[in-house]
Amino acid sequence: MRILIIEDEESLALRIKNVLESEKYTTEAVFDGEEGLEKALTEEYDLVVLDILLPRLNGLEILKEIRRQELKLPVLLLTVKDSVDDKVKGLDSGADDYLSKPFAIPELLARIRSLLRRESDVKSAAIRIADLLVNTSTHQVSKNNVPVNLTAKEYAILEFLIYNKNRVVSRLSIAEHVWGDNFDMFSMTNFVDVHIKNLRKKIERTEKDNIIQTIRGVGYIIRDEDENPE
Amino acid sequence: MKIRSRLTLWFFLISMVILILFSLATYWGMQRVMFQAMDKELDVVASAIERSYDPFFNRFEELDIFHENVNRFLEYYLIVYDDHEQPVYISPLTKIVKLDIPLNRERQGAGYTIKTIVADRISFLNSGPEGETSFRLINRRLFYRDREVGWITIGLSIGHIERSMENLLKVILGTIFVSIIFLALGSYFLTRQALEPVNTITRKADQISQNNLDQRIKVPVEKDELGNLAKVLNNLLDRLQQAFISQQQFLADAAHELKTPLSVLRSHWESELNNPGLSNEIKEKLVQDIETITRLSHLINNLLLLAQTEEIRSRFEFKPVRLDELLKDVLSDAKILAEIKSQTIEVIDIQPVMIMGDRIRLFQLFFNLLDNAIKYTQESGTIRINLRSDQGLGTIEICDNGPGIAKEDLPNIYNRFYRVQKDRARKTGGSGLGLAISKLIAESHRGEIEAESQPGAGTTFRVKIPATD
Repeated sequence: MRILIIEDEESLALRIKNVLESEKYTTEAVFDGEEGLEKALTEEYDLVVLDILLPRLNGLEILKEIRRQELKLPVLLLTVKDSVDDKVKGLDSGADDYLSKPFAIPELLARIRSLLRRESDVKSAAIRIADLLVNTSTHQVSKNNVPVNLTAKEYAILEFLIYNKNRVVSRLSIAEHVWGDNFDMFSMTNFVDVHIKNLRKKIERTEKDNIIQTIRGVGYIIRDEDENPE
Repeated sequence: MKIRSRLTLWFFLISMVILILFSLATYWGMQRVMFQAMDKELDVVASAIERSYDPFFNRFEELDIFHENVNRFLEYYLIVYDDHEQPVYISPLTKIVKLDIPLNRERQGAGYTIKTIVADRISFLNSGPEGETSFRLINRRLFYRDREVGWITIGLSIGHIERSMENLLKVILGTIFVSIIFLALGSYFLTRQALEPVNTITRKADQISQNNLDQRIKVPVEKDELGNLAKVLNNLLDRLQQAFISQQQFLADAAHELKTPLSVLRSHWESELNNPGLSNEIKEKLVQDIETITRLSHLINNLLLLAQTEEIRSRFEFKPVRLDELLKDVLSDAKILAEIKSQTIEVIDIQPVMIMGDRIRLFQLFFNLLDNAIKYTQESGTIRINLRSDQGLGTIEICDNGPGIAKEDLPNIYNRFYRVQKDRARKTGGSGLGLAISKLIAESHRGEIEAESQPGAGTTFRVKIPATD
């Protein structure tokens, strides 16, 4: 999952970035409002952590603009003051959640997970797909209660597919949400194929065991059997 | 030759020529003046002898009282002839000194000089160490009422003049010698002094690049030519900066205006991928379009990145980075791509190196280079990678055994959109900006990137980045 942090206090922004990266999220931090809005509008993110007080462009205005463009992008607002007014304004402008500074890192992470789940009708931190159990808070994956060891990228791909379950995602989307956009996409799509191949070897035991499905020429999909019983 | 050396040389040469001409003029002029005075003196004596002619006795009365009348009469070399060319008077000195008097000489009274050697030491001759001395003489006819009554050779030693002239020459040569030193030093320092502001301006102008276009040259003195030059340069810089800023702004605006509709387009198509009413064939086309759109917006991003070089360092997050660990991460990704083409990535050595850098950008840099190597090397080729730590530098070498790059292409490969083989590049994809960005990243880390290539044998890219302790 790819997360954008818009926060003018650089040390805080970089601290959040480090924490999120260690949680296997692909993360970018920008320090001013205009650039933040530009990125939020034109690039692929799964969530934005947005500060209210920003140079050049206020956080609430960024929020309104994101909503005006009808982007389905979860926004977690960081408010400095513990004032009700700020929170109300924020939520009314379209924020999905807020967090008052100073905050504890585990709470930030939990709220991010909750927002990502809410966006993709996943109910809890532990997600079950057939006999595969993925815990998004501990990043542990098990198959038939046997732990599966995944690399960071394999896990990130799996998580992205699960958050987008029942939807076809293109290889390009996967690459962007897992690697960011600093790379040549056409190597990266090859990359995705290889990682998915490796991932499949680890989580699919038999030919018929088909958790990740390939839509030839289009992309990949994880279907949630519970919701789409055959 | 530098202007400074030229100026120094010209100044020196001209001063020397003037000095030497002046010295020569002084020397010859002095000698001439002295000789003229002497000739005049000789003529006065000769005239006195001429006037004393007594036609009755056909002799020169003056000669009888010569030793009483003329001061220093002993010093005179004097022969008087009568109209039969017979010497009628010979002075005492004439008997001692042998002078080779040209008898056929015009007897018009013009002065001439004869050198001789006198063995005896005679004080007033002022002879040199070998007894050499000179005489100034005149020959002239003697007349009595327009009748020629004889002629005279009269001369004086000019030893003292010669000694004086020798001394003068010594003084002149000494002066010239000292002047050479002073002129050389003087002209050197003067031109340096005069050209120093030019150097200052040059250095300053050289330092100003697009990264510090807001800096200006200090105007040394308002009114002089160099002050003017500095002002003109500053005006030029003003205009450059203005143009640069508006170009940056234009690029940023254009990029924004282009990227927004592209991302709208993309998100629309992306959502259509889940439209059950569309056939798979159409979805495949949509994905291809999405890839094209993404390629475009990446191109725009990269162009923007390359255009905003001045800001780029401030956008990087510089942290201590273990280059060897980073390279291993890059390798684990690159190996996946290499396997697709059955290529081998051979690690020669990876030594631990710590640098200050932006992890993501450095990853991008090395991934770019490895990705290129993989793209341009044929199936089942070999790519070698090496990381050395030496002389405070982390040096990474990435060698492939691909087709190589022609010598004439090599200097251009970092240029934006430069493609070595146009048809090939289309197939391998890429925007043509990869190496330009790689170079930018390397240089933002105060490093450098260079390439060596042998067509047919392969290419080596070498990146050097300063290490921290």
